[in-house]
Amino acid sequence: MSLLEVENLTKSFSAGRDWLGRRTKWLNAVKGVSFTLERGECLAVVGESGAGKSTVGRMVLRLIEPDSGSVTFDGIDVLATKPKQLRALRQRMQMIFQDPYSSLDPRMTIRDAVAEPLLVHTDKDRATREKEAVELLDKVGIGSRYLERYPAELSGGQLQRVAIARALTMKPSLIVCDEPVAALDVSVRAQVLNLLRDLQEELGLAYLFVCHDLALVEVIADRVMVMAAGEVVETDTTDQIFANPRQEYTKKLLAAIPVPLPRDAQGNRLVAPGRVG
Amino acid sequence: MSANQTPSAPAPGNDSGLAEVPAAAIGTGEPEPVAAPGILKSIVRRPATIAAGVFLLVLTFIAIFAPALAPYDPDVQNLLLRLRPPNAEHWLGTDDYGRDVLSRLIFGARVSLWAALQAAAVALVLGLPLGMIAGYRGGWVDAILTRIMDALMSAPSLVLAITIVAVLGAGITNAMLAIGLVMAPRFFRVARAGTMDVRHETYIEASIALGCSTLRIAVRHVLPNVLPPIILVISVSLGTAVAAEASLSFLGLGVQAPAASWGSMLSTASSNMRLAPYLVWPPGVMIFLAVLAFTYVGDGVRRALVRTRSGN
Repeated sequence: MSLLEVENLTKSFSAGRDWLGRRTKWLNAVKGVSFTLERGECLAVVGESGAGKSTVGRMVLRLIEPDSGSVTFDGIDVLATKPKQLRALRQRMQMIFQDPYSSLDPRMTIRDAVAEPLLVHTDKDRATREKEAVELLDKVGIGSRYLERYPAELSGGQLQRVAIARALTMKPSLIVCDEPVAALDVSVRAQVLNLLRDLQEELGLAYLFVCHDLALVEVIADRVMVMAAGEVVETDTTDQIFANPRQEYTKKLLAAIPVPLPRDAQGNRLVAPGRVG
Repeated sequence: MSANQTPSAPAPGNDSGLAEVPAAAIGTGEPEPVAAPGILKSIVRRPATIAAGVFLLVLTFIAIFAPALAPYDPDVQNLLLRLRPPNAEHWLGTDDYGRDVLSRLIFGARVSLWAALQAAAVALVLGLPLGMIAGYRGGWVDAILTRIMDALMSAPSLVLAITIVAVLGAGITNAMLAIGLVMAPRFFRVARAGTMDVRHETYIEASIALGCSTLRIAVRHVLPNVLPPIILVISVSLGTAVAAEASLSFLGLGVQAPAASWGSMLSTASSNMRLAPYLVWPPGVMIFLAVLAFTYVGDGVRRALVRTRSGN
């Protein structure tokens, strides 16, 4: 049994209303998306903005209610769980958000933020919670320097590490990563990406890795699902997608990856005019 | 928050233009992460706010320790000493039953502040949770609650208070219940706007993803953002309630004889205007100062909020 089985997931949002407030226009964000995710696997969801990648990620966690389809997590029908069960289930399926600056409560210290899941889901006492928070922060390379600080005092990379630590608190088996490095400086992207990869190995995590940057996908993903306009274009192993893309759309996406040092057909480096190469 | 800026009929007693204050204080920007220390510092820098605050503290002290501070029993009549002007024994003179005006003023502070507190508490308990629910849930819940609050806001508070007193019987608590009911929309609006401000922040979604209950999200993650402007509304509402209590007691619908309140003292004074014009001053000045002080404290909080918001 796969860790996560998603079938025929569909969601449309209302895009316009008439003067009585009735919905007139519909935007089909996600149309019949199906995929599976094994334990310890990383499935990347790629596509341009508006392709419905993030919506899929959020529907898996039921942060957005799908119109139809099914989500089965470890044999549990996620869409049928009652609110209380769902909250308990959330311990095992976590999320890391794109913008680390806004995914942490600005009025909560780093320590409290990381310890919050323990407060919500367990009856461990304060000292235990704080000890575990420190351990988690150690694990993501933050240490105990910023325990009493507020999010505004940390950099984007540090905040994303804190967010990762918070997601790990309840030892989940699935983490939905919604563009986890897109908002970070290029210089810290690799660090955070490596951290995610190391944690995956160490803890056997499965990632649903929503991303628009194929260069990152090549590094972290086992399999890739390409989406366009709410539909799955193709799903294959990362190697296959990069070596033998079957669909035109996938080829176009691959061609759009920026090359660090562009060269022409003869192998000469292309140099911006007006500068001496 | 612009959706509920419907013009409301000015209500007698609470139409001092203060309804606009909370709206201005909320702003639309992101909440300042470390707002609290900045607010305190900013308040400390305003002497008018300090003076008003100290005055209110002293007033509270006087109200609490009224029995110890008052030179005479406020209800004991001495018909031989009726309507005496201020003198060495009765610093503020005596009223038409020969009761000591200073003592009645001191006990009146008790009635006025307690009444104001009751009204503000009723408004807070009604308005804050409902406002947060409306702002958090949105949709039809929000639409219905907002309409109800708009309807309440359009009710003239004193007329409604008189009606409620007529039904439930005269008494300060009934009257303040009515005033509180009419003031609830202010709390509702501010709480709703503050909640909507953060409702769609990622950290609220993150809290849901972590498995926090809705109650925990409301109390721990939304309330801190709503509270600073609510403090301002509390202050302004206390001022309004002091004036409203005085109005009702002046009309004889609030505090019942022989108990003293500033409003009932003013009523006594007005019927003895010709014989003892000096009787008007003590309660009049106290009402004036108390309302002014509450407003100043509220204004100080508002300015401090605006300043910390704009990052200064």
